[in-house]
Amino acid sequence: MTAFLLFGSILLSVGCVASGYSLAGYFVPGILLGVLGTTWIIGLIRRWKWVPLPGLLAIYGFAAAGFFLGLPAGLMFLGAIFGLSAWDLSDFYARLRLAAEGDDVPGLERRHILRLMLVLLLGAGLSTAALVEHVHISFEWMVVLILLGAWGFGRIVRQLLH
Amino acid sequence: MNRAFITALLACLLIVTGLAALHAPLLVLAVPVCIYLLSGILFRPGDIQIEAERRISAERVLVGEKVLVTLKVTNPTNHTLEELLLEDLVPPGLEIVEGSCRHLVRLPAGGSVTWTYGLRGRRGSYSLGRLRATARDQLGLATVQRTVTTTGQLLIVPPVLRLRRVAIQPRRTRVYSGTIPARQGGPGVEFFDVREYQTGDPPRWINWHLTARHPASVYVNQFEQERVADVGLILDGRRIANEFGERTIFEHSVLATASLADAFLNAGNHVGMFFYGKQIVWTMPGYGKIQAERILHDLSRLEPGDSQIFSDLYVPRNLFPSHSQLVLISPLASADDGALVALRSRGYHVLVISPDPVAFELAALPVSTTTDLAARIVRLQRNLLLRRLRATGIQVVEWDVSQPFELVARQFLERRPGLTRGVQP
Repeated sequence: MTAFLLFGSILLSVGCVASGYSLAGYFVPGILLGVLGTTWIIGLIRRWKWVPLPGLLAIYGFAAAGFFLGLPAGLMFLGAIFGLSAWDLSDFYARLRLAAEGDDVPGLERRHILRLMLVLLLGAGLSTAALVEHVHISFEWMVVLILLGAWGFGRIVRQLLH
Repeated sequence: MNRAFITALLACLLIVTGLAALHAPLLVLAVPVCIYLLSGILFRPGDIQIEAERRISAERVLVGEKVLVTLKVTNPTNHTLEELLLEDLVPPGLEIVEGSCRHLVRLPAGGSVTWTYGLRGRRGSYSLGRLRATARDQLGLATVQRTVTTTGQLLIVPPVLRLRRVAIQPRRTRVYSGTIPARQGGPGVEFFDVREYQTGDPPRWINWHLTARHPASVYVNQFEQERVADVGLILDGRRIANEFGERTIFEHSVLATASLADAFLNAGNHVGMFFYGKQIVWTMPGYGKIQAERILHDLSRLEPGDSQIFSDLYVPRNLFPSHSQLVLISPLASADDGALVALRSRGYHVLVISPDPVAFELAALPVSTTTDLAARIVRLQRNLLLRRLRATGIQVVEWDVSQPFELVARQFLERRPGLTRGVQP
């Protein structure tokens, strides 16, 4: 199940961003994304551990560039979401290889995928809401929110790293 | 690279770029990444407080025998470990032949997991007391690792070949009866000498032929007493003598030592062992099965070492008095004759079992004229060394390790050494 979703995520991620570029007439980035997707899949088959990280960064880089270029936001956004999913599943797939015969791998897969889907759906929902709804706040409040965000973000990272 | 760090870096990049460029969609792109990070912090695993219990099917096995290790890991806390990787840290030298020492599980609060795997390994003493537990949240962002200690010791001892008899004849024996000819007349089996009849001698001991030839007196047969002896086994563990590139002949020496110790102890002798290798190890002399087990335990721990000088070989006389039997198990190096001759000159009766290093090394080399020539030269040097030893009265048994040790023992060790019988020292 994980392998199926992983390969699906890579294809959808690369496909969304590449089609966004291609529809706007940028064919070179589309080809580059195709190469990226192929390398990612080959890397998974050949167990190259380094592949998912550049894959994720490239997908997010292309998606961000797509936003700047005014490409279809939905496709860029979906590509990024599926890229995050592919990066997560790549690591999970590698961890599952450590399981021994008789371990409850389907149970682990089910719970992981459920959690990932919830996180991604929540992220996608909040992002869509942010894209659709625009709230106007004053500069002072924006500064306060930025400071609070930076503090909270720092706390999260510190807790995860320790 | 840490996954949490990567995610945080990506989110930071998106937020900073979005703010710098005043481009809201980039901030929106960071939202799923931030939610992903937040999930990691919310569902990160707590401290790992698991309990592990280990059972080993046998604590002492022979080389090649399989051992089953059963591990039971319990989570006594009230929080579930969603993704827990349990790895039993198997020391080098052991190989897993059945099952797996690693399991990826979900361990609910109060739950437990049990598994069994099979091990096999080289000779040695192994500590199987460490289990590494790595807990992650379901997205793998936060990792907590802990090593849990358990009890578990495994001793893999060398195989012991049952030798029928090892004939030695040291000049000095102990007072207890045994199987070593003591060069003294008395009760026994083998004919030793004749003497004049004394009151109390059983009539069946009378030598009628001799008495008929010398009618002035009556003569009786004397038999050679058989007693136990002090036997010191010296195992040579020097790398210089035992190791040839990646291959070592040391395991053969260990096998021979174990078999000889067993044979000598079964015959009732007082046996001790001295190891000269990575470290100097003494197994104090003793009798019986406990001593055999003690020697096997010590043998299982020995490793070849870098000691080079054999001439400092010191055998304490309080443990092995002069004229007792020493058995050296060594492939021998070129300058070893001095130390052995010195032992002989101190009165020890020395038997050398020498696994043949030339044949051993040659078996692993490609056939060529150069190799043949080199082998001939080394063989000549070795033959000279052995000849020098034999000339001083040292009994040398050369063992081509491609042959089973029992065969060599039967051929060369079961017969009595060719010394003059009945001669007192």
